Amino acid sequence: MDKDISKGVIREMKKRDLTPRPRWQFLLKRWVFWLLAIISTILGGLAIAIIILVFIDHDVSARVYLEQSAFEDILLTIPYLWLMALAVLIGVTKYAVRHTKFGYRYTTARIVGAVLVGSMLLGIVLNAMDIGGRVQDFLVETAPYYNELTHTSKDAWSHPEKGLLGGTITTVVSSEEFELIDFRKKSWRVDTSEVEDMDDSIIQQGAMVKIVGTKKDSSLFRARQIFLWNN
Amino acid sequence: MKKKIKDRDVELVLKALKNADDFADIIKHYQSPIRRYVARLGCRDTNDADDLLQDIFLKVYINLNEYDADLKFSSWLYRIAHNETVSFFRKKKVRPNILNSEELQQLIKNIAGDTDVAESLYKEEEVHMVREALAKLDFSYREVLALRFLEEKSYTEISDILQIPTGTVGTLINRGKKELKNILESNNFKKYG
Repeated sequence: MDKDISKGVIREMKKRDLTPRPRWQFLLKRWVFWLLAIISTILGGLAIAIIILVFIDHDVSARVYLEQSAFEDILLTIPYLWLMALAVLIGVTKYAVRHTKFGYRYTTARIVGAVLVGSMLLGIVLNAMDIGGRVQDFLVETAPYYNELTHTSKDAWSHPEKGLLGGTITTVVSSEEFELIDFRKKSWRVDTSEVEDMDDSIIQQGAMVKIVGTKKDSSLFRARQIFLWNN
Repeated sequence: MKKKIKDRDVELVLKALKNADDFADIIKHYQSPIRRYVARLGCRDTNDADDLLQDIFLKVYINLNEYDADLKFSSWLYRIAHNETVSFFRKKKVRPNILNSEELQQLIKNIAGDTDVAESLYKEEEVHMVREALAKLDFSYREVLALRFLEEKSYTEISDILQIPTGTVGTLINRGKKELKNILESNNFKKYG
């Protein structure tokens, strides 16, 4: 016959003045983990939206002018930062799901698979709504060091010394010259006198363009070819 | 039957939440199986087991509001017992003691069908061999074998107690049995294989 410990336990409970922790604390803990799982899945969706954007937006034409191999181009284009962010977010979601009520019942593969599918679907939707693009632009403009950590088509067209310049036309000075502000907020005068097959309809104030040509001095660029940015 | 036990447990929990003295009913219902379980996990010293049992039930009382009727009360209770026992071994820095002869017999009998092990151990020498083999077995295998073949818990219950996926429970059981067989074979246990 085992020793009955019930009296001893009740005595100890009273001695230590123990009371059950309120139910709301446990419910709050569960909700915090669900919230964490939801937030990290949404952020994972955003990461995928930007990854999709980077590949869709990728401008292979710049590679030709920069004389890069396809392999170099792919290596430069892969959005390492966002892939790492996605891996961390999947890890956080897995941790959060595992701490929900029955989260332990699911294998890591199942959780990661579900999170990936969820993030991908969300990423496609966010990309279609251009939210990925807006976040990318916001980060490029405001987040310190973000530009150094990512490679976008705008980066590829920010090499005037290599003959590639992109940006927005600010003023059309004459039929042979316009002013442009590049993606790094620097102003340029662009000479269009030597452009082959010039399409005048492109040269409009506010139009985003990409230009192949030669840097003549610190603020003058002589264009050889001009394309609309989304062309 | 299962529903009756569940209803009874929910009632016991509600009563204990209203009146602390009624928590004694929960202790009385579960102290024997939990004492047996912690002993099977390796806490065989009576004084240690008493202290451990007290800590387990105090923890159960403090966390009583966490219990959710979607889960079997016994699974929730075994989960706390398991976690407390593991931290007890960690705190005390002691190796768990292995099952007694009777439990070894029961364990071997229960896993015999799947592993070709002899259904009964006749000699003290054989009991000693199996005990040694179990001592060499990884704790994660031993705890899952104890839950399955001594506590006779289902895969879902083991999953709820150890908080691991049911698939992992199956994997651990199979690997544990294989590992046990390998250890016994390498020790030239004649009744094996």
